[in-house]
Amino acid sequence: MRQAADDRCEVLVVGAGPAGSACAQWLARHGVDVLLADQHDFPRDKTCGDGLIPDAHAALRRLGVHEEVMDLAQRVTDVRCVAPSGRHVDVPGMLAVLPRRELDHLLVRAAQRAGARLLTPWRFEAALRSADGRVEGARLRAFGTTAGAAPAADEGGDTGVTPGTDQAPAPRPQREVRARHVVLATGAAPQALIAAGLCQRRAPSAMGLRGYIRPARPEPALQGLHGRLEVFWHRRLKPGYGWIFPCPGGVYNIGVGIIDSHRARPDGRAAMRALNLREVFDDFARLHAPARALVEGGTWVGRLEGAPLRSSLQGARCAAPGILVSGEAAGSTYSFTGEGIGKAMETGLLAAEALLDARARGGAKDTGDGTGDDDHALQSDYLARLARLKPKFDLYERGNTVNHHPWLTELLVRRAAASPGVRRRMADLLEERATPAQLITLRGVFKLFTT
Amino acid sequence: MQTTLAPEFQGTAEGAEAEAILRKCVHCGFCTATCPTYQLLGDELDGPRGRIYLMKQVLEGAPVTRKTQAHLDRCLTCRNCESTCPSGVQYGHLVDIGRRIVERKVERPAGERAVRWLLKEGLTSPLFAPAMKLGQAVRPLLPATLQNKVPAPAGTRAHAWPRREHARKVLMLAGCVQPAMLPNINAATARVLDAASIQAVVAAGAGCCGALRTHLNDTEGGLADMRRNIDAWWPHVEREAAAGGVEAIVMNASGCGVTVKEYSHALAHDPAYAAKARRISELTRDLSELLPELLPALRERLGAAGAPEAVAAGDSPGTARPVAPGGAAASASASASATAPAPRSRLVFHPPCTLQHGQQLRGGVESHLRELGFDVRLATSESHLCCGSAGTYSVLQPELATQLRDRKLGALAPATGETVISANIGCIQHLQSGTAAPVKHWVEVLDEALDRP
Repeated sequence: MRQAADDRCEVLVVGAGPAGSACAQWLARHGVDVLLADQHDFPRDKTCGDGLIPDAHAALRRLGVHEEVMDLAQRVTDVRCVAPSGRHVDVPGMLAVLPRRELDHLLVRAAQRAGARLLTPWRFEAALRSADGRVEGARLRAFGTTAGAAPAADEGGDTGVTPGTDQAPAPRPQREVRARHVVLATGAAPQALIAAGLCQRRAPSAMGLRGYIRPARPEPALQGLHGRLEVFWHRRLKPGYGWIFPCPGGVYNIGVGIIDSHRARPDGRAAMRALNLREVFDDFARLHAPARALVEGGTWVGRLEGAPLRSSLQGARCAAPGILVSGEAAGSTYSFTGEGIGKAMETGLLAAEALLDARARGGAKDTGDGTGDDDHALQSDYLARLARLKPKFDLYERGNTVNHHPWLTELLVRRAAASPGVRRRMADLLEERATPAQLITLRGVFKLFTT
Repeated sequence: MQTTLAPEFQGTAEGAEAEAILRKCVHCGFCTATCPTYQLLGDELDGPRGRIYLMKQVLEGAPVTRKTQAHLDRCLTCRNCESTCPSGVQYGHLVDIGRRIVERKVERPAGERAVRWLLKEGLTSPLFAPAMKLGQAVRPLLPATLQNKVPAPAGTRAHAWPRREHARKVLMLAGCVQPAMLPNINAATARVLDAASIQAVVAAGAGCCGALRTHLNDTEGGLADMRRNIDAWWPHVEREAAAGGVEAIVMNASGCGVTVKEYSHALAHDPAYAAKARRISELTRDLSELLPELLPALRERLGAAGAPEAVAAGDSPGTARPVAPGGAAASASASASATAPAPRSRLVFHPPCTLQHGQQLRGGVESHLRELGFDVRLATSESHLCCGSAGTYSVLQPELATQLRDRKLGALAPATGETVISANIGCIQHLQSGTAAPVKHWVEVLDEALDRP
């Protein structure tokens, strides 16, 4: 086992996606010795819709990278909600699209600039614990990516995989990192949560499937598509929706998302519903004119790839002695829309703030002896911060009614077309200006559809 | 996955099945996080997603090489990926098809062919038992690699079968290597069932479940094994219970259990056997699935025999305590303290992949043993991971198998006085080769407790 002097830090952040990078940057900025570990070298792809909604813009501003992001991103002015009939309403907002390959790399670099040390490609394998069970570091294993990470040939074409060796390579080395605190920001794959004993639900909450397409030529069906996020509901896509988001460089992120994709079984695991995401995608490409135009006339850039989502701030124990969980591992993705970048960064920042406050109280210093009281205060502080986000998540959970009953969008679109008040309310919701407390009441939801 | 089958696979049953499975995969890569060979090697092509790409290419008619074969060979078929997959991809069925096709297209070197032939014909042969006896006689002279495969001879109790007849009967598969290698597992199963007034019947003519030949890509040979077993079992299955028919077909090796439970799939296209195979699969139970029903009788017997210490003193943190089942354990421990039972070892359970992933049976063994007053814990980490035995894998891929074995033993970390228990002969023998701690089938431990005066 490799033991190095640098395998020691005040906070070890595991996972360098938006949540982990945000947390690491904030801590490093405030003088904390942070090690940011990830199983992949950057830049790397991450299957995502790539959409940045207002909450993401707010977090990017706090992280001091908003301008840098917007220089690279495709700017968008509206979300177009398209009902099964094709009728639509445009909801204005502060919006943009930037593929995660670039966004995440940018966020990692920003964390490094702030002073965080990056450790890749090392993967979380187990928590190191003191005799009384407090987490005080992690065992990581080298996790080189080889052939498979590279193939990016087009969907339907050659997968570009070349069989490697027929000799069994050597096993991967391990290392132990000692840390005063660990933040787990390991995303939707539950293995790290399970290994740390914090997983309460293995099954994802939803599944998404997306690819990138470059249109061959301008077509009427694609007109104006580069300036908006387009979301389409239809009973064939139920319970879920299809999306088309414009990326920089004339490429479109096109995909489908299915919520409540898994049914719980008595043993806590879950089985996927009897649906095939690729067939759902095919339905989307058949039913929605712009999607059809892209799939039929365009060229695939890379493959159609899926990703599970963890949402509604559920499924994990988010704090235990010596360890906090943030980002999608904590279920930070919105269940209604599947948007997760903004809220992931927010929860990463919340973890950082809670750690900094604990440190200011004297409980999180590396020199501390780890008394239970400080751990306890830190845990309840972090959980309270997360709890304050919960009403928003609950509201979005309620919004899922629309995904289950696509005809509601028909009603909503008609109401919105006739009423500036409804359009304003939708914009407030998108910008998170509306207080969830008002909107979460049945009356509030009812008003959304009736006033 | 968009798959365009090569002409040779279009319209074939294996082509259609493979395409349907491939289409469910969305490449999310969750599987790689739990794949044992990917954990060891870190090569995408030694994980399920990479292997799925390779098989897709094969089905689309791309040239197949020895390297493709090596990556497929390195798969343990533990099916951990199926437990993890959020899209319900049936990797196990796909890899069976993929390996079969690759086997047809790529010729193995003569040495490899000979070893594989010896394994599939030798282990299932009537000569295996005398060969094992011979091996045991000259065990000290054998090279270490072979010693690992030859356990010390079993005692006389290993052959002591209960003589009582019971109205309730179950069929039991004796297995191909089990009677010669670790005969006590079958005898202990029969004795434990006997204690609950159930008679274990071994059908004459039944033998290897077919997994050996199937996984060595002798598909036809495997199907012949399956048909032979169905023929041997059918008279017992057909008969009414009152006329001496059986209630279930019991498997005490989870590797065989997963195979027999999938007879219905394997023989689905055989008009003469499809219906029978379906019935056989429906009746098949892992031994642990009988435990809920056996509990009352066993609890009574254990109580009378001086039950195992209900709670060991100084339980380590994290060790699940035995559940007191409605006062029975209390009375059991009361009688235990009265009779001062012999000190009993604590147990650490390795759930075989064929049980937890193949049959999707989790928690049954340990929870029921705890209800009977045993002190059972799981590995401190990676309980989901394969031990490297994987049928003949430990012979064909010894380096990876040994790495996985040692990693598993590290996670199980049996303390002095602890016994490792499992539910499949392959895992038991493989783990035993790497540790001084005793490794047993859980039913042997239960049987010993029942036997204790």
